[in-house]
Parts: sequence; C-alpha cells; structure tokens
Amino acid sequence: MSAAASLAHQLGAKPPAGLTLTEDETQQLADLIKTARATQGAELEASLLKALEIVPRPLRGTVRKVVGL
Amino acid sequence: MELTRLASLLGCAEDALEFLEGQSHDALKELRDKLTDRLFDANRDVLLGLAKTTKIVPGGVAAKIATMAFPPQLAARVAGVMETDAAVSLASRVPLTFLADLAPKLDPRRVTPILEKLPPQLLVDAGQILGERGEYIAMADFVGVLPDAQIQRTLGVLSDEALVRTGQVIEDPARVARILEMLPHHRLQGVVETAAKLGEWDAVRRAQPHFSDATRTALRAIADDLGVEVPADLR
Repeated sequence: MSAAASLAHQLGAKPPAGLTLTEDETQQLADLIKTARATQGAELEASLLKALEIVPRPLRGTVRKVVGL
Repeated sequence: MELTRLASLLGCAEDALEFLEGQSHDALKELRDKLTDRLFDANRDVLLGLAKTTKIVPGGVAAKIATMAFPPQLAARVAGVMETDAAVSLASRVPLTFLADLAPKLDPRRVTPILEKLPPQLLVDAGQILGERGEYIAMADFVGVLPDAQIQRTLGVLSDEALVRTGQVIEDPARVARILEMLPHHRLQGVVETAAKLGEWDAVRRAQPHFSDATRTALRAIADDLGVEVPADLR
C-alpha cells in the first residue's frame, strides 16, 4: 500500500488536498494515526471490563448486552 | 496552535509532529476535523451502549463508572453520544476536577446542547480550573460554542493572563472583540497591561477590525494612561 493510500485508510477519508508531504512524512502521519486508533481501541476494551466490575452484579448481564460484550 | 491540538488528539508529543510545521493552517485544520471524526466515531455502537448504561444503573454508579473506568479521552467520546439530559445529570454527579480533565478532550461541536443545559455555575467553576491549569486551547474552543451570557459569567474568575493567552488561540477574531467589549474598564486595563508585559498582541491585532469605536477609543486611552508600549499598527 502506498503511503498516500495508507494515510487515507487510517484517516477514513481523503487527506486534505492542501497537505504537502513527502512519501516518508505521509507514512509517518499514517503510522501516528494507526497508533492512536490502536491505543484508543485498547483503552476502550480495558475501560469496558473495569466498568463491568463496578456495575452491580444483578445488572451486569443487561449492561454486557447493551455494550455488546 | 493546530499542532498542539493534533498532538492532543493523537496522544503524542508535539515534537513528533515537527514534520507538519510549515503546512497551511487550513490544511491542518481540515486534517484535525477529519481526524476528530475518525477517532470520535470509532466503535460508535459500543459508545452508544456505554451511554445507555448510564440510564440502566443508578446515578451514583454511573458517576463511579465514569470517574473510575473512563480515561478523559473515552469519557469525552461517550459524552459526545449521550442524550443531553442524561449527560447533564451525570455531569452534576461527578467531581469538578473530572469535568476539567475531560473538557480539553471534548469535541465542542458534539456537546453544544449539553453545554447549553449545564448549570451555569458548574461551567464557571470548570472554567476557573481550566484557567488555572493553563488549558487555553480548550477554553478558546468553548468560547466558540458558548453563549455570551455564559462567557460573561466566566470572565470574572479568569486571570488577566488567562484572558490574554486564551485570546491568542480563539479562532474567530470577532469573538475576541466581543469578549473585550464585555470586560469592565478595570479588567480591560489589566488585559492591556498583561498583553504589553507578555508582548502578546496578536489577539488584539486580529480582533481590531471588529472593534466598535468605543472599544477602540477605550483601548487607546488605557494604553496612554498606563504608558504601555502598543505596537504601531494598533495605534
């Protein structure tokens, strides 16, 4: 995948036309977004598990269902 | 300013974005908007589920979950999909410092209806903490979406330095002019003195075309009275 395609993939949209980056810089930006998305996903998973520990036991099943666990 | 915002979104050091220096403001702003949408909309179903959870569990438990299990960035994303009344109720139950922690991570565009319904004093108190923490970019972003009356209420708890530094990063110069016009004379004096001391005149310079004649005259008179040095183009 080219750096430009990688950036578009990570951004989920066409990168701004006014952005003038070299191939390396484009890849650098794509990698930073990839890391941020991965961190965000891991953070979400950890938070869901932590939240479930706080939810009173009788409600855990309902909450699990609502958040799709 | 855009690089600081992007670094906050990406959770990286500003130095890591050095390669973006020199890009146009418009391109970086567009990049930030697209990145905000990408990150805030990820796992939307789960976020909606979490938002629903706050209505299933008792209010105290919801507040405990928010403060103990949600880091600020995630709390900000959940706030962005919450129903207004549920979010307002939750905001009133969590510690003020938690609100101040998540405020810089919010996308103000997504929480405007919530901000409009929050108790005014809660916003003042949160604004005071943000000012003390030097969260000028977050405050500037809120200025863009809060009504004048709320801004006026908050001005009283912000230092002159917080006002000058926030003004520097407010995107809309007309808002800067509006805020300067809201300030009573003694606060305007403090702002002029602080701007001179810090050498930070950019906000006033950008706002200048939006000044009323009265504000322009008042600023000139204050500068003369205080004997502060004002850049020639602002005279």
